[in-house]
Amino acid sequence: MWIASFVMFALLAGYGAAETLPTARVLQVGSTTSMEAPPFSFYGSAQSDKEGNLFFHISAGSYRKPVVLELNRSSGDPTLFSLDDEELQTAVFHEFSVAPSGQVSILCQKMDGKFYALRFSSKGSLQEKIHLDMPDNLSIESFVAFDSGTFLVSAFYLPSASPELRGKGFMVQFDESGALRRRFNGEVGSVDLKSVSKRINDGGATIGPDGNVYLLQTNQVLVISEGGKILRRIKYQKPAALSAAKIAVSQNLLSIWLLKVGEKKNVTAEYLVIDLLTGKPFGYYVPGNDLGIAPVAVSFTSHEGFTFFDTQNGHVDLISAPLQ
Amino acid sequence: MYKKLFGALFGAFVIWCSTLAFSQCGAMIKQTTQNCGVHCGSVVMQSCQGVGTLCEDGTGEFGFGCCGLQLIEPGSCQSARTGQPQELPPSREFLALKDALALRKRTLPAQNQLMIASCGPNKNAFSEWLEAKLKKQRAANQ
Repeated sequence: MWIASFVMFALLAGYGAAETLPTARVLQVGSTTSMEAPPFSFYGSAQSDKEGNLFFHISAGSYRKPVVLELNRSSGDPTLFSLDDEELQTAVFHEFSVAPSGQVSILCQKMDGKFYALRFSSKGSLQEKIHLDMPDNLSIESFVAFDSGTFLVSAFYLPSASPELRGKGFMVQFDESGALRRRFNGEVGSVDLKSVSKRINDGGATIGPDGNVYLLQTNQVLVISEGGKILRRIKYQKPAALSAAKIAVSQNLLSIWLLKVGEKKNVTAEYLVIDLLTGKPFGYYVPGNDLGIAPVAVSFTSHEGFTFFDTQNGHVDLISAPLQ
Repeated sequence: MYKKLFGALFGAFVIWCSTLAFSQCGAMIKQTTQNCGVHCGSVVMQSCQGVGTLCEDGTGEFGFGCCGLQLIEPGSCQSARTGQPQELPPSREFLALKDALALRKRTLPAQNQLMIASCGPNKNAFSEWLEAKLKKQRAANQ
């Protein structure tokens, strides 16, 4: 009886608890692929589709310019997604999302404060402009576009919102027409508006090969079905000084980018890989010296490991660093 | 002929004066050069220092009120945190986008961004490539 109770208690106590971090392993250069694109700079995290093609919000002279560049791994020919529409020239860029099929969507806000999701064709032309019924005064944290056309947005209220809302989390799902499908109350924590701008925020989202959204939060990953049901919470541990800023899922592995801001505002990254079958850490990785200084991976797959971005001889190189 | 020459010189002078008038964003621009690894040349980091003619710390109009702003130039290859993703557009662009920038200032005060800045032998190579590529793609999509 006592033994059974003890086993039950141990199981309950351990369920959902975060595992401690494993010893760090060093990532080293595997192979390098040269791409047909000149060196460019980009903001935030790169995204990828199920074919492994990479998408970047590039610096085209200004952050506000919503230009997304696709590096196609098979053709090598880059595609650009940008706004030619006169009416949208002054729209403010918030986030972009790449569905598993490779369809690009951009979330922007127009002068009247209204949010729009813009869907693009694979050749880079604007296909649809969908109004998303969201309140003004939001700082967008994650924007996810599903292949079916639905969207998930997570955000928090800005100091310009009404006093009772300031700093509070906000997460909603929209159907393909932009109508509200579900509001997730209580699933997104509040932020401290005084400190939020002083560090790189925790957060990110991706669609896994199972079609579910993996939403990265400070100490857990929420797995949400396209139907809006919360399927699972994967707890993880990270050093407090590091920001969990990007997530990728490939087969049964989940990778979390942990960013560290140095004294000179340079940023370095370490990577926690979690086994989705057990929910336990699979490995903890740090970049080796041969990857150069301050390398931050742009993508992760279970078979190739991490892919890093570099430039050499006037073009972009993609460097793979397999898991050891 | 002298009239034409005078006209051209005067035009150039007016353009130079207006460029000067609108490009001031601080008392000075501090440039920091850092070594950034074996694959790249150097990083030039620019930041506005002090108070300029059109801005005061934290009070100036967005775009011109740029004191404390840090820009990581596209010619560099460092990954950097942009403290707050404020931007410093060219002056003529600023005038046309004043409202958009005001909205941007209001909606993005809390987001910190990571920027991966890459380097190349020619800083303008990407802009030229981008322009040509966009033109070609627009023509093909029409």
